[in-house]
Amino acid sequence: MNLKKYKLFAIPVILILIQFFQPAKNSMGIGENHIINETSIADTVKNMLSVSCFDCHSNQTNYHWYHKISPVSWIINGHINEGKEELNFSNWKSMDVYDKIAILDEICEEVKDKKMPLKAYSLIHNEAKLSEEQIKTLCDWTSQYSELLLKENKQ
Amino acid sequence: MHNIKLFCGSIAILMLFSFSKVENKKADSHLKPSEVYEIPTDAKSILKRSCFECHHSDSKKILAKGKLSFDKLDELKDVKKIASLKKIEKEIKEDKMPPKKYTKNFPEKQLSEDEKKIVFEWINSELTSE
Ligand code: HEC
Ligand code: HEC
Repeated sequence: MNLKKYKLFAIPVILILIQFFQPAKNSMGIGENHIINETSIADTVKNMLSVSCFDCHSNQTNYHWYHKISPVSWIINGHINEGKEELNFSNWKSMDVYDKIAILDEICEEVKDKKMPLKAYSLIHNEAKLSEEQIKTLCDWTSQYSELLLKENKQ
Repeated sequence: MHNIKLFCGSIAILMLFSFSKVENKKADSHLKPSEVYEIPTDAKSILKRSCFECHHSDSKKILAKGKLSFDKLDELKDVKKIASLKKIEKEIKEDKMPPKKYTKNFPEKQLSEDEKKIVFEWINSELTSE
């Protein structure tokens, strides 16, 4: 009987305690190598990437208040670290041309297969969901842009 | 008896002819028959041993060959080929391919560090020639 009461009490205590364990924030700002600073990319494309991808694929995440609460903050932090490892738009301008071409191909594949943005993210960030039209715009961009990069590289 | 031999013989000859026709067709359909795509022998033997079973048009493993077929690399557009080569490099670098589940049963299919280097050299030479 008593034990049951203690157990119930333990849950809020644990929830409060874990708030003291917060991962470092991903907020190094937009560096000069960020894809935003790439002048040859249309604003419509940059806006889409900004709304749907930068939170996990750049050095600057726009946090909401609930992102700062454990264990949500831990999950988010995991997504960001993993996402940046695969693709970090903050490093775009310093990337090797072949890496760019390869990742452009993957960007189109991931959004076409509805794997990106992550479901967990677009469920909460409704605005991040990409429409069929937006997906087409992104894929048209990735194929045109990679052709352009290759042409420039040959010159 | 003699008739049967004649019969079998002519069937065999006919078959040989039809095979050679198929071969010709294959060569014709390639854009540049004089430059049929060849991976250099040292890299190819490694890839053949460790990857072709799943990543070749002759493979029975539909899932994997749909994603990547080594014999079809040169039919891809330049940018697609570059993307494929970089993916191959990445999968090998991160030890994701061949799949762990598979190398558990066939440890001899794992790539040694030296073999990885040979494959990466091939990839680099392909990239710079694009
Ligand atoms: C909520 C965080 C999050 C958002 C938002 C997000 N990603 Fe990702 N992304 C990840 C994670 C985590 C991975 C690595 C694990 C995986 O592939 O599922 C990843 C991997 C990738 C990869 C590499 C896939 C691979 O297998 O190599 C690409 C490309 C990618 N994302 C593109 C995008 C694009 C484009 C957007 C925006 C339309 C986007 N992501 C939005 C978290 C995110
Ligand atoms: C036992 C079968 C098997 C072997 C052997 C194998 N693969 Fe794979 N490979 C797969 C499967 C299955 C997939 C698809 C996995 C997925 O979609 O997640 C895949 C996917 C890939 C991809 C990603 C393709 C894409 O477009 O996403 C690459 C690159 C790759 N393999 C390279 C290799 C290389 C290089 C080797 C040899 C060193 C190799 N694989 C050996 C089964 C295999």
